[in-house]
Amino acid sequence: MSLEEKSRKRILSEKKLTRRQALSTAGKIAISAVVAGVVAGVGGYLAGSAAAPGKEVTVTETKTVTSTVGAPGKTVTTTVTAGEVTKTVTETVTKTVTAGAPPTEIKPELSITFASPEWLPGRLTGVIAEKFPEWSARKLGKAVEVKMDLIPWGAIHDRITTTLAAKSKEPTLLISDSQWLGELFVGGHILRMNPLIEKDPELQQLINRFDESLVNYYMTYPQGNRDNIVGFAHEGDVITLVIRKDILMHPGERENFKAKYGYDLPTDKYEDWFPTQIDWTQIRDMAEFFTRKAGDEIAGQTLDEDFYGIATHMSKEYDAIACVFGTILYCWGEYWWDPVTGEVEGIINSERAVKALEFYKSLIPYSPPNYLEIWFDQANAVMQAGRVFMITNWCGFQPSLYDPTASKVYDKIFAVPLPGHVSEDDGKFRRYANIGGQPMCINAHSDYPDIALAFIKFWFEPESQRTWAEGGGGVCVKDVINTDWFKKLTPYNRAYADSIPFQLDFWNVPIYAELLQALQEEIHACLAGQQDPKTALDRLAKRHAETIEADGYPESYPPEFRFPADKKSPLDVVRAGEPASEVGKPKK
Amino acid sequence: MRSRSERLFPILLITPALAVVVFLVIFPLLWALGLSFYKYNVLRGGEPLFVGLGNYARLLSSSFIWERFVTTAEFVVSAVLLEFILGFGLALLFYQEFKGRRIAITLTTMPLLVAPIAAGIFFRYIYDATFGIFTYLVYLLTGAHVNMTKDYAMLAVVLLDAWQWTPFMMLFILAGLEAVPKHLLESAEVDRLSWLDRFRVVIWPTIRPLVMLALLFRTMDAFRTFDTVFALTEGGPGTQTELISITIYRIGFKYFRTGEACALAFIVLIIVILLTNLYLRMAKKVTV
Repeated sequence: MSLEEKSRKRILSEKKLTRRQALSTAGKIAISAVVAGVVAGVGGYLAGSAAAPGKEVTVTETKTVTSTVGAPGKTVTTTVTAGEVTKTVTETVTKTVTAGAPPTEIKPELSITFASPEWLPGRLTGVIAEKFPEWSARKLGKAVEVKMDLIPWGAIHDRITTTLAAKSKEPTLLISDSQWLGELFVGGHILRMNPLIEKDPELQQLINRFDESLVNYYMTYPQGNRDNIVGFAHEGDVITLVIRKDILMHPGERENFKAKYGYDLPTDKYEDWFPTQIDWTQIRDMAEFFTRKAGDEIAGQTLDEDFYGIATHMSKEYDAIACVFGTILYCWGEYWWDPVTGEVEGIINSERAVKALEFYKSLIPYSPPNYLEIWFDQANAVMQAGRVFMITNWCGFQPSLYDPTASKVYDKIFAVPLPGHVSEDDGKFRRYANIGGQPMCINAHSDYPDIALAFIKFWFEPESQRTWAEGGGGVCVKDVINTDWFKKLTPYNRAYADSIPFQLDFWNVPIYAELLQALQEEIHACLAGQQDPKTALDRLAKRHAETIEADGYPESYPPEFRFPADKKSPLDVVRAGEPASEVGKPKK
Repeated sequence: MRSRSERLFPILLITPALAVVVFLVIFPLLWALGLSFYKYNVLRGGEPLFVGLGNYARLLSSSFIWERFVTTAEFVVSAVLLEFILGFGLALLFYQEFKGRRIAITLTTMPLLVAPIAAGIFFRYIYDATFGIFTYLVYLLTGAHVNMTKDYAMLAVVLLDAWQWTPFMMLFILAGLEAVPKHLLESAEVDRLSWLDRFRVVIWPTIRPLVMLALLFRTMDAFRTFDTVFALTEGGPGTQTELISITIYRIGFKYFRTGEACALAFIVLIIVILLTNLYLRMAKKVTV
């Protein structure tokens, strides 16, 4: 053994002797890291708390209305600002919807599960479901409990699809996004309810309580085919505009706008926006006009930070682009594909579609720098910070905009339906939007479809719907939506109610996920400046055509799963500029 | 000669561990290999259709899949190289004794404690082009409005990965440095070897196997990176940072093309095995 090797061995053995020391050091490191983590966490929490915007010093009268349903139990609280306010007085309404034990103590004999996204409508559903044991005991002769399985939105598709693929009997009831209906139904995982509805006059009546758009996109597969009722509308949602009225109504700004664009800005009067035919190009004018740099003035005040004209959804996440670009696409008189033949070439990359994408992209200069990440949260954040003139957002995510503890502009905004567009080629004004929201479906593998259907009946009873509306749920039945009571319940309910009839949706076929992903990728790349609108749509058409061909749509589908050739498709309707309610009606 | 019970006893002891490996690793792996030869959509059900090497052929002839492989290679090479350089630098720094060294090492290794999905979300807020602290600091220093996730998306994900995994590289290299025989370093100093020669002749031969091991681990890990990039950019803008792991996830759990997802996972597995062999050969060469 050489001297060097001996020496190395000696050193190694010395190292072994210090193992205890090493372990001790490692322990110290781990403890220090945990302590540092806790300190950082607490610091972060405190910093987050401190960052919440303080209430503005205004003359504010706050009225708290507490509506209690049943005995104390779970509580869902929403805070909204009443729509009709003067410039100086703001009325904040805080509603607390509480439900708990039914009037008499009832021990459930059976329990079923309802899988829902973990958000306000999901929690509120749980509150309303607490009265179901008493209702079912009375109506079915058996007390049934509905347990909520609340799943974070980001994970719910994976959870529900994998659970159903395993043919699990629970959840008996589940929330499906509207575009999942095809993949769940064609796979045999959600129940076709027609045979049950045909036997039940009450359910037949129930169908008539929904707007055509909600039946088409929340309840049927293929869209508008009432021979396959596969769900019932649960949480309705639409996108609206939310606008800063203090800036809109500033006399100097209005004067300067007219001088620059040659027409008057609409006022903060709802009727100036709907049913008045406001055009998307006017929205862009406003966005351009109100985009200012730090140091500039807006509505008589000097800006500390840059101010933006519009924040609309352009994120790559899920269907963020599909819903807003889809809205613009329909208004420009084009659709994604022909659902009858499965053709895409010459449709999604048509001249109208390219112009629609050029328009969508033209909003970027007036958007916040993080425009490529803007979805509902980011749009809310920039509005709550008081740094944008208007945003587009889902009604379901608007309550926090009117919450004084979260929003600097809670008393300076109002919501109106999305605009439309006068087409350059046929001169028609089209006003459509892409629907959001979700239906509830029955698990086809469940042992209790009859009980699930009974829950659906319970759900649409007046008392349940009243609680649903008061708690901030997206009501879907016309007899509630069209009441003055509902329209005045929140600042955005009127816009929500008026928007429902002009909603359309994209594909709900089993291959929707691949079509949607291709769309999000190609349009996002276009918005990021990686490709021009024409190239993006040509690439998209190619990818969609490949996906549809590989799937064999429509030839590989049984006739009952195809879009009927004798009915009007969304493509027919938007191209002709007909009302959205014409989808599914017989072709002349 | 050992009795029957003496021979059976060790088998009995390893059976639980073996059962876990067989049922949770080997069986699913073989099942997935089998599925990769079928056209099968788990959500739509129906009978799996045997397509032989069809899934492999379709994937390997798809330009989209090759784009993902190129993106993944760019990410792996950039991230591992940056982590190696920074990790080496930090290891050399911490090789010196100085006051507060231990606490500095602790603080440096803290990113390893953060869950990757949380790190992705943190960085999304840090890089945010409207409200992000990174954007704000860059603006203060340079006056430029930088949009990391749009204009430098790949750099943004590489920096995130480097933030999280450089400490791992540093710990490996530091362990190697600590193992360098002190007397050899002293001899080199007596012989008045330059720092570079000392590193080349004394330090590098000792730490090289550990460095190769660290590079091997990080390369394998970087190849299957998913959560940080998915949370930060979701593969965007467009598909600029769409790694192969994200594509496998989408094919498997969004499109439910189960057979194709298995085939793609096996292609990646083969690439990782080849890389592993390469590293092990290099490490072995050094040891010999």
